Amino acid sequence: MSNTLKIAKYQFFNVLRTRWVFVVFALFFFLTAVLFYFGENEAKVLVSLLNVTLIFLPLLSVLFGVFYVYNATSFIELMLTQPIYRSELYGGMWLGIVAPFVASFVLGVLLPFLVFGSWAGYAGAFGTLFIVGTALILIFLSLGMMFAIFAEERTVGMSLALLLWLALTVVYDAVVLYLATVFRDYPLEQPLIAAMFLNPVDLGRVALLLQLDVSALMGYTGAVFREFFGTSLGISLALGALLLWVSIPVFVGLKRFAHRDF
Amino acid sequence: MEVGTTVRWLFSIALLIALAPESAQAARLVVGEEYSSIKAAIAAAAAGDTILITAGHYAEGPIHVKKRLTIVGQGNPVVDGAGQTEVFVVEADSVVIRKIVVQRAGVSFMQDNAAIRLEKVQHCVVDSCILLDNFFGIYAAESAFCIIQNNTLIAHSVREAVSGNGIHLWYCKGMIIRNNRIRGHRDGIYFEFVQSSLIEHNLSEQNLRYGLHFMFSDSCQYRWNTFRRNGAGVAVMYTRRVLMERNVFAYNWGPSSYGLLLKEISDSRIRFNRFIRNTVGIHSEGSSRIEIDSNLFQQNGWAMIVMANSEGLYIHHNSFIGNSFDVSTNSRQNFNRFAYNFWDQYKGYDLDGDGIGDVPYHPVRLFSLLVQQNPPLLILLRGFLIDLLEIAEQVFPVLTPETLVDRYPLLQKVVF
Repeated sequence: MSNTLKIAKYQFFNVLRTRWVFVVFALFFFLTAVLFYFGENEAKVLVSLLNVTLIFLPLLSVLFGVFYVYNATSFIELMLTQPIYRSELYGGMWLGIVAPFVASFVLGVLLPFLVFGSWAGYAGAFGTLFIVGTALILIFLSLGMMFAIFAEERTVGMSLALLLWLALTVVYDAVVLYLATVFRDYPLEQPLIAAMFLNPVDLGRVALLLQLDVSALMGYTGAVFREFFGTSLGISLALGALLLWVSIPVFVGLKRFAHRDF
Repeated sequence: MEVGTTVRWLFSIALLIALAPESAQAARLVVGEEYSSIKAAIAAAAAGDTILITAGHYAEGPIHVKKRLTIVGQGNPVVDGAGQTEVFVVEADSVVIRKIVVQRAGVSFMQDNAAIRLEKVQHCVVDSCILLDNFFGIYAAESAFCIIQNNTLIAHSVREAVSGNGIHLWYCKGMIIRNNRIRGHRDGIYFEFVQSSLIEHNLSEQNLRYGLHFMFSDSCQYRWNTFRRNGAGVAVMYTRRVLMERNVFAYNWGPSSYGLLLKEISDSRIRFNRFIRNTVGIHSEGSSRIEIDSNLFQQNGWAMIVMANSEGLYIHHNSFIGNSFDVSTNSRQNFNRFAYNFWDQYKGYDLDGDGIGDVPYHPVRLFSLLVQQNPPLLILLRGFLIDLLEIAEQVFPVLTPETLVDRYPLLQKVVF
């Protein structure tokens, strides 16, 4: 286990040197600070952060996951000559990439908020934002690493990552919108809830909606969603789904990594 | 004698008469001392007398007041309908009822039992009473120029069918309803065929159905009231010349709950109100010629839903802040005017610096129309795809009403 942590530590500082995490930090820090600076209230800041968190954070994460593994090929080859398990190496790399990313996201939002914002009435919303953002980083970094492990060609891995991002942020919703329009005469609430579970971006968005748009969600249909996601069962299921979304790419990637020839 | 002196003399005499202690003619009857029951005291009293009810519990059925009396409680006497009957029935003009606790007017499916019923009277006052768990609280029928003020009405209704309204007026005019607190009834304040009345400084909350509900009640004014957490908000219908100002409509949440539902309201003015965290701020249906100005719409699901059968609404100088949807409608037709409002979702600019945005604002979003047609789609709110569709629609509108536009959007919120 200590091997994993050693590698993670090395990776952590290595990742800090790549400047990617500073892009994430700067993006969130300046966005939040500027929004507060121009006198926007907490709700408006949250809405803007929601869009960035749900769209750009997955994109940056998945691309970085892919890039990093490709750039670390010689490092991996070197490490594999050492007497350590491949799972330790993979786990160490994963931890070392994920930790600085999560830290830069959380700090990027938290610092300006502590300076300009007020917790009153928004603690739940910001807490949800941190959880959703962290989950998306974990999920998309893992997916990015997985793609890079599977595809030996750099361009293939990149394309797969971009395609997946596009699919989950735009195409998936378009398909849902289309199907919901075709089947509008049927009760759609339950199928739509199920559909949200299959997409981590949507799941994160719905979690934030419950904090931001509670008035609208108390309408007829909204109440159904709220009753589901508002219960402890709904929250546990949502967190469980996010956890599944993290663990599946990690395990699939690890399995492939354990057998791949470098 | 000079004319001036005569006038002064006459004036002094008039003043003496006016200020003469009433006890000179009017008697004071004390219930709890000389009279054991309120009914006995009323039977013994003459018009103009005062009945003082001392602290105690009086389980008396319907008490008919057919003389001009002032009935005052001392030390919160409790008059109890025991869940069977109505309690006070006022049938004479100029009766005053003050500082009495009236409770448990009985639920009935045959008649509208009330704690205090004003029946065909004028110039009566109900003041500072506490009405607990009554079927109806204060019920006025065919009465005029009465004042209902400073009362607290609390009921614990669970079902609409077996609950009555807090303050219920039927065929009244010139009434003043002021500074009452109403909670837990069916409708907090209910008007039918009420004319020229003033409703101010009341708090109506947590009622089963509507905080305020009126129909066919022309020329009434509603000011400084708060309506919050009512089952279905506030609904007003079939009325002309309504003035609503400085009221608060808040936390009216639910599938058919409205901050303010306007149904066939015309020639009215709604201004300086605050609509906060309602599922729908204002829902207008078949209404016409209403000036809606200087209101604040904050964090509602839908700030306004203006159905296409509304016309001549002039909506100006309102502030729309943090609403999920600003305006929604059900048609591409629009017969209402929006101007000089502040929209926090406005993304335009103001190059000439006159405080008015140079680019018009279209408050109806494509997605609000989609949700209108297919409510479960609400779950896609704030998605990236929806934002993309929104941009496409703004560039080339095919579904949203082109004429529903604010050509003079303000850049600063309106402060009042």
